[in-house]
Amino acid sequence: MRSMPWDEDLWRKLKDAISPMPPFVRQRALSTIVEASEALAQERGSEVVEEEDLVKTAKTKMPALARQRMLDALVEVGINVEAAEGTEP
Amino acid sequence: MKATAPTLVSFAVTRECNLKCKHCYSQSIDSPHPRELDTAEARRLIGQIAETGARLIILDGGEPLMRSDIFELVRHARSVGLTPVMGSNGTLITPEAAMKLADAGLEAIAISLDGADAETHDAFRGLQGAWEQTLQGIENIRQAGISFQIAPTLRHGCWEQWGAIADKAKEWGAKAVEVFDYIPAGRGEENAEFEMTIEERRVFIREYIARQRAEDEMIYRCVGLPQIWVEVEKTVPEDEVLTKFVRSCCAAGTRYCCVLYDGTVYPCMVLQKKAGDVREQSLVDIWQNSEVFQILRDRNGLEGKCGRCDYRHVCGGARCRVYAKTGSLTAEDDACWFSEEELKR
Repeated sequence: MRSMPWDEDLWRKLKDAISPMPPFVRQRALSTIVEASEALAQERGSEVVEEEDLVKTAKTKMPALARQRMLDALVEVGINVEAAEGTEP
Repeated sequence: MKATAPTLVSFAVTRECNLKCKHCYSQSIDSPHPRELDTAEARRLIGQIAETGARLIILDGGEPLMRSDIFELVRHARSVGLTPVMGSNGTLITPEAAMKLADAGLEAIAISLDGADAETHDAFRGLQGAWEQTLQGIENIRQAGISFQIAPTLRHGCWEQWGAIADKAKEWGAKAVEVFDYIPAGRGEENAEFEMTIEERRVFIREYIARQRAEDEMIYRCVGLPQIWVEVEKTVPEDEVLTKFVRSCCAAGTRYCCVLYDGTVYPCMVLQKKAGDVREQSLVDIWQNSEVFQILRDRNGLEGKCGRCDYRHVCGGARCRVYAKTGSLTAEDDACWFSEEELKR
């Protein structure tokens, strides 16, 4: 599923965040998030996906209906969603 | 800690029930509570549940079908944008009731089944013949085209039957099996001998994981045993965790709360620490500001082994059992069998 390295702590938190979702919803969400976060990491010239890429993805690439849920899920596992840039929902 | 929207809220619409189960968390009996929320109050509460941002409302009880306005409440939940589901003992689901639930917009129903045979189920549920009535209710639900899941309670002495119950659930066409650990809360406190031992829980969890790994369609969930997720992460390959396993517990006060028939708000049906009263405050206000919820949301505030545990954000210990036994929301879960070394990620 991942095509480049992720900060392992961040990957674990992402897995934790999506673990309450029903599997069919989760698979779609995960593939969107992974693809977009990796693209953002590459855009800024990083070889590793980091927290700012994930949070920016959640804020800008998630469908509007799922965006706040995703941000809430990230907050629940200890990710600071205020720190990264992006369009506030 | 900032309140995020709950994913689901359960509303125990009545205390009244036609059964007398030994574990009943809501202390249900054969009459409504004298301060039961009336139809107008129940509708107002459902509106407030939608305002919290929740998507799913669970209408349970008591037995929700004892309430004559239940179909109106289901319809109202749908009209305010919630997805209504129900928890029922199944005995009152006639063909007519099932069709009315479908017409009202009920999305799914969880039917309690506490034994793989009539003798075990009826003894626990307090009514001879309950098993037969429940099975008929399941058939009526199926005929009405409503999705359903089977919900057994695990207990000392007969927890091993859960596998046979799950087999039956699959045969009947259930979408999920949601297993409840026995928690000594409500009437369950009077029958604490049903609580499983730590070793029984460990064996159950291994069986549960093996079943989910072998299953592509059926979804298993478990309430009251959040340590399952630790075992899942330690023993299941990542791709299977991501595609098959659902973490459903503990969400008390973080993604879920419960409102009783008299308006009392609890973090969970089995974590009975009052967080507010919807007759005095709106549910939105309670959800966002209740001190009880603030404490439960701060997993860094957990004590002892739970506080040092690297899994505290995904497990946090069975807060319900801890509260029932110690009166504390933050004490360590002394029924956790993992060593401190095992709780490092």
